[in-house]
Amino acid sequence: MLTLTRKLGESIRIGDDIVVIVKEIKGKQVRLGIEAPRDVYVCREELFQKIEEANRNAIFASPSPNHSQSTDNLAALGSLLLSKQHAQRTTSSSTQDIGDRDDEN
Amino acid sequence: MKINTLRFGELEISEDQIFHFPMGILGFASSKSFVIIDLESQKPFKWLQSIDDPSTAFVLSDPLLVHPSYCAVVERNELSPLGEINEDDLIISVIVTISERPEDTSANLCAPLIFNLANRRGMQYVLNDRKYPIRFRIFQNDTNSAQPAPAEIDGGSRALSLR
Repeated sequence: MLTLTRKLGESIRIGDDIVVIVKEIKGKQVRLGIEAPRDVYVCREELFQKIEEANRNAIFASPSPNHSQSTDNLAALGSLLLSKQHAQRTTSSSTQDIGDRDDEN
Repeated sequence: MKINTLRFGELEISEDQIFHFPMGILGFASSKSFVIIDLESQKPFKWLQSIDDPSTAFVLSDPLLVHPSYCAVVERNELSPLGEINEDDLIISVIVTISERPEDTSANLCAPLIFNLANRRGMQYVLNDRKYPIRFRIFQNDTNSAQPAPAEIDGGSRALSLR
């Protein structure tokens, strides 16, 4: 791994179009500014890893011929979700969002 | 064109039913093209099936169904993979992780999918605030299939707020 030492306000450049700037140093925390092309994902590493993991889990858990989960389970969950929404609609007064959406459909 | 899928067998789709994800989906960068599959028996869920990989398919839901007050605050200038943005053309959807136990079934409210219907592009957008969890349990308080056909994505633009 390449390791560089930088001071407050200094930056490093990665390739043609990515710049990382040290914006603030406070104790053990560093605030970084990042300029990158819009089609490059920039986010905290932990968050990135968690979302990748969640995406992989979502596929692994979804019903498939090679998996013990039956597609009937998804149908059952779908019904459950619709009945839950129905219950919310009939019991809650704060259903503005749902009502408005139906008008659009 | 015909595509192969693990879960739905061979499907006949047309070019105009394809959604392009220029950045892929996190962890699945090689899948760039997807089609929506809607099975009557599995409503309100839909599937996002990869055209590039038969085994890659996500279960999707309208976020408002799982979280009635959900509102993703999205930076307009971070949507450039979606091309030109007209708010009315945007649809937001969330990936659902299915479990045998309903109470373990969750939706990823932190990184929704955003679709631009005008040019049929899509992306996974990571919300900047930490308001919504990656694993939001849909049923935390609760305890015969037709031939699949490509379908449209739907959902509320109301669940999305452009900045």
